[in-house]
Amino acid sequence: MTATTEEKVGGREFTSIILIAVGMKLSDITTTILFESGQTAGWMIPLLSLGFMLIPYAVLISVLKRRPGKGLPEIVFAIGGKFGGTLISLLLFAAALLMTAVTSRGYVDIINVMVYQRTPVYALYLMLMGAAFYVAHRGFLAIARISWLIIFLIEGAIVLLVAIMWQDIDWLRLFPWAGPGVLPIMRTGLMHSAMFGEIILATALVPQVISFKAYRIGSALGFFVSSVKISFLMAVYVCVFDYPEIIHIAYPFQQLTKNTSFGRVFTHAESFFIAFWLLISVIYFAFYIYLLAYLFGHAVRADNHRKLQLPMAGLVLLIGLIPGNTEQVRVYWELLMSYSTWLYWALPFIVWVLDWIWRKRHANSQAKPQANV
Amino acid sequence: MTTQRDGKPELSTLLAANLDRLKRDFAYPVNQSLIIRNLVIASLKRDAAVLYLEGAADIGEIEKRIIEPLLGRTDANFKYADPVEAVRLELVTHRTGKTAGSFDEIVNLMVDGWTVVLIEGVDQALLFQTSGFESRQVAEPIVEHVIRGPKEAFTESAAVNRSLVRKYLRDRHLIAETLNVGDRAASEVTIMYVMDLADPNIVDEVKRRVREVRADAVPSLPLLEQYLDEHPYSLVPSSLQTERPDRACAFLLEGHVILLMDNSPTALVLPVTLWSLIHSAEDHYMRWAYSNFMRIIRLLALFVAVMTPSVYIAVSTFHEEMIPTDLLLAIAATREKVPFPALLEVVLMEFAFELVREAAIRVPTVIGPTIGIVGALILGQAAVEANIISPILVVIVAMTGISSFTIPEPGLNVTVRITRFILLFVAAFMGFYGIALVIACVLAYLTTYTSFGVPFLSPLTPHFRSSADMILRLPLHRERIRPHNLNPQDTVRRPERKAKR
Repeated sequence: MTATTEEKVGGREFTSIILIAVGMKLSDITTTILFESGQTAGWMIPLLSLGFMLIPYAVLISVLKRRPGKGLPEIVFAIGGKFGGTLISLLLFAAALLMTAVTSRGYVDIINVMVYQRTPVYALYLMLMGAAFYVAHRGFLAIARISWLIIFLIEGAIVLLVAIMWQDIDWLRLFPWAGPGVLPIMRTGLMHSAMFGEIILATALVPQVISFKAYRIGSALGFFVSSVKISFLMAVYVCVFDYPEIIHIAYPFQQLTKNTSFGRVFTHAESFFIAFWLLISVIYFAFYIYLLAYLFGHAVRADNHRKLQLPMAGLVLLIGLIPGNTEQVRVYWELLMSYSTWLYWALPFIVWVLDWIWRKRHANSQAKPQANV
Repeated sequence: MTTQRDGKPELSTLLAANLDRLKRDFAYPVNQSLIIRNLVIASLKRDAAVLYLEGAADIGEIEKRIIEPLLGRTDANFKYADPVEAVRLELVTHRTGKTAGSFDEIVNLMVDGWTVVLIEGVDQALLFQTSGFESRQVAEPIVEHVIRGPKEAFTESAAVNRSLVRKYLRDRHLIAETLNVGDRAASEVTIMYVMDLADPNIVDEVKRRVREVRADAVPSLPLLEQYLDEHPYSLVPSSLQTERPDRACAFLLEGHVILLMDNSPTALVLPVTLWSLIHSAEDHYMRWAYSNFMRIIRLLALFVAVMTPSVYIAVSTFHEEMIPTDLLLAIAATREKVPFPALLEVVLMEFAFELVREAAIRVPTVIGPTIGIVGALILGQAAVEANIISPILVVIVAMTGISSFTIPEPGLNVTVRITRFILLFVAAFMGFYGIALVIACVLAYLTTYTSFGVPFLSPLTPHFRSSADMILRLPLHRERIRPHNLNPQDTVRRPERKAKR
């Protein structure tokens, strides 16, 4: 591993990317929507969702392990042929594209509502996508290195936020702990498991990581810590704002930062947290733009997927501008979540079956000439 | 009459012909720099001539070591029959001495201060290294001065600089290779590195780039630095110049390569990272706690220098709620009388500060203090009293200015100042949103920026093993390994200390 030849992403950097790309969900509309169905037990959903998502992930990993150094698109092309590969890659791409568009629109809405009420949505959106495109254009290495650079600051800021709000937390507000009941919670957890769909999508990036082991450890650690983080912060939201008030708060994270102060002199520290959050959002969407261009580039087998990043940023912007308001964004988000849950569940099994068939055929074709001899 | 071989003019056996040719080459007698001393070597019974360039050669040395022995000896008992060998090995007492057969070689060496001895009946010339260019004494560093630590600085003579480096780093693996750059007037570039430390890839890359420089003349290092730069349009420096031999040696010991040239009182260090640019020479001469305290101050100063004006604009234009209420009222009260928007105020004041700064560098030293008076009184006090700017702004601009002086590297200093202006306009446009977006882009740029293949923010990101000598530093005994981002061949700086008892 030398500095001059280093082109791949190390384990720490990759873990940080996952921590950011997944951990960001604690600050967007995901939490609000989960509280609606999860009520006081909303905080359990991220843990359950990840638990459910681990099943298809384990299936997919068993295939990936057999083909070292290959990412998901390469594998589906190898075992599914041209048609199957393109189809599966495009499906994944479509799911990721729509999710990115809806999520990014959610972020722009937050910025619009919380800070820049007088700036038009499309202007804010354009700037966000512009910056994210530039970061993505500097490459996966840039995203990885920035993530590693700021990951401790991010986690520190979250700890600081919770520490500042500690006196407003009333843990008894978590009760009744099962919320709407154990079974509904399980069902919501299962149906929202696409919230960790990145765990499937990120397997496309295996060849970009220095080793498969680093990838596995990085993704395991990143997803586990992120889900614990999201669920802890959701518990904090409930304990600070109480149920049912929480479901009327559109953006609990931003609302929480609005209540912060540094001592008696600096009574409003929210801009500090918001500025930080904005910086991370850029990295977050840069990661998605990179991933989208990467997936699409593989689907159409383009030589240089970096050239696709600008069209991808534009596409996300255009799709994201379709919803008229935040309410519609939520409806789309819910819809997308349930469809992509199906996709992320089905895909690994399909890949596994295809791989099994491929291996059988391969074994036969290898065995035959031997039998002839 | 001169002969030719391989297209190169060769010396003839006639002294007069050779002299004629050299006179023509140096445009003698129009050019009075060529000094010719005719003499007779009595012991050999031959005519001879000693030639050198005035100003390039050391006259005392020529007289004492070359002319005196040639004329002084009269007996003719030589071991060597060949007159050239006899003169070189038995007559002249100079420490160097070599022969040359072509005029090209002679002329090139004479420009460098060598002395030529031509002997009648011999088609070879004798050359002695007698360079005696005028040069400054080794003086104290001007830019990188320290309170504690050695106080020697490089001078304009590459030979002196090489000797200074060798004095601080007495290692037989310290290599000094020389390459020539410049097609018309070639200058010598010395590449120094520690052979069993520096990554051969980096060394080769540096050599390749130096060889690839195509220019008529590269008289000094700052020009060479720009020729070597892989990102000539970038705001970020990709190499660093130090005037301290001790610092150059510290870099050599980490596996960096340094370049030395005549006429340049600095060493060019390659490759660099952000950390080498923000560190000061003194950091390792102070005890752990003291130097870390200074580093924290400097890091804060870096942030202040980059961010303060833009944060002020963002807060006062978009996020007023952040300012404590009493202060907000106080600022509002003083700003009431100022007719300009906050952005214009800041730009005006920053511009004034940059003016003072530029003027202070350009102005003759004698009238230097005037700048301070004009700057402080007229731009500060009077501007406030005239209600052109508000008092808080003077505080902010002054803070920013002083902070930017703590950045030790002149190149990075300008980077910081330009970035400050970019952020200023972005903040006026979109507040914290704009600042956050631009900072994300700046980080993306910095993390993927490389200097001779080494990532600019390494070993922090991407992570490499190192002794964590980046923002802070460890106590000296714990700085055990070299930073791996330079891929040093020997990674351990000092072996694990054996436990006592």
